[in-house]
Amino acid sequence: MLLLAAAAAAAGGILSLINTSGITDVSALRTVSKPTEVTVSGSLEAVKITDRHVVLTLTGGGFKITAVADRRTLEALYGPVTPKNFEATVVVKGLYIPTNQTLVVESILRGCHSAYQQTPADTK
Amino acid sequence: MRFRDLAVGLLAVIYTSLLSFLALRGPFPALVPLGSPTAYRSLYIHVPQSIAALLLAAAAAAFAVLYLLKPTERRFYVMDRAAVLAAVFSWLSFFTGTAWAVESWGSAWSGDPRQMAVGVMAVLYTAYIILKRSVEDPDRLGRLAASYLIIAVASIPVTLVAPILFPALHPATGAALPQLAPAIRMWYSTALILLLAFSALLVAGGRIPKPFALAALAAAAAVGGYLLWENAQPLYRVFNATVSNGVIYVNTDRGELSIPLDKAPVDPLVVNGTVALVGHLLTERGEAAVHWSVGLNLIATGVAVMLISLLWGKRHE
Repeated sequence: MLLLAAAAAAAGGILSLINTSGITDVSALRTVSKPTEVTVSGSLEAVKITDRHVVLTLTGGGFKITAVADRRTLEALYGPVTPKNFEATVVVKGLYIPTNQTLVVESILRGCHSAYQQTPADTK
Repeated sequence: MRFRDLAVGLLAVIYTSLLSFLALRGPFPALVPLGSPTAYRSLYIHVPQSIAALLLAAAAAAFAVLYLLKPTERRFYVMDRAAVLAAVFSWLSFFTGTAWAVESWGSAWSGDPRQMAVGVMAVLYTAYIILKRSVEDPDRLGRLAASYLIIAVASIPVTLVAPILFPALHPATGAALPQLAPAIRMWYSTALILLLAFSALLVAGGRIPKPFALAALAAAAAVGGYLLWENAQPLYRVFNATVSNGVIYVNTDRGELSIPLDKAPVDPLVVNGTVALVGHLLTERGEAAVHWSVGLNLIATGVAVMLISLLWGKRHE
């Protein structure tokens, strides 16, 4: 019984570690009070593409942030950026500035979920 | 040479040769959310190794319970070997997944919950090896090691449920693999079965004879090295491609390439009306290059086989 309790405590410890330092929901930024490096996941509400920037409006749990990415940097990584590039849920990594609820994007991350249902291909 | 060692050695060579073949010619998803679709050839390397790590950790915990109920030398032996292999495969899983994530997620480290859980698991099972070496009293060692492994097994359910409980880049447990195209699933299942058979024989006491380990390492290093060399030359990242009058016009980060249709770098070229070249890395001649993470993961696997051979070499005979 003691061992099982210790195993449960270990599981709780690992989950707590993941909860505090893993990918967080946009709503978790509500409590951030100083500029912090974060990786957040949020529902995409709007995409605006200007000459220099790509501006994403992300929401979660009633909280809204603006994620700003350099368009040239994104294009160098992912090719031409259009609103169609983004899925309903977006994960971004960067510096969050709480005073204006803005996240300066370093990279936009993608899950690999949708790849598994694809037609197989091969190199020649 | 014992029959079991011969079987383990042969399985090690067949497994790494199969992975080498799949790294060069394995089917991959035609259209992917990010990066080069060829990076998905790491599916054959990373996913079976992750499953093996979890099963080995579970086996170590099961034998730890049996040992605590009735301590025998055989039960300790199996528990110990499963735990050591769980450490090797969880590090391998962490490393191969991180290399793959660079291309397919956009970042090596993103705080993905399963990636973190596997990292913690690798540390926990490495700590087991340190713990085992630090206890000198053999009577205490057995009970202490078994108790530790029962606690460490907590990392398995956490690894499995983490992508469901937290925002994640990993697909949820069991959600992705049933969706795989039959051609991919067939090769994936073959790699998984070979690795599980190899692991089971090792846990049961098999050793990889050095010539077989060297052959496995050579196969992995040769193909992995070739793929890394291929990535050392200037490569063109495809942004867009169109087909017109028997020519493929490819828009890349280094300018435009024109490739005759009969020399299309991938097969099939068009999937659901889309030219399936976006994200690919092409050489100057318009040939598809396999992403470096696949080569690196292949070499890491060869090194791990060699490490296991050295770990359980002659000194235990």
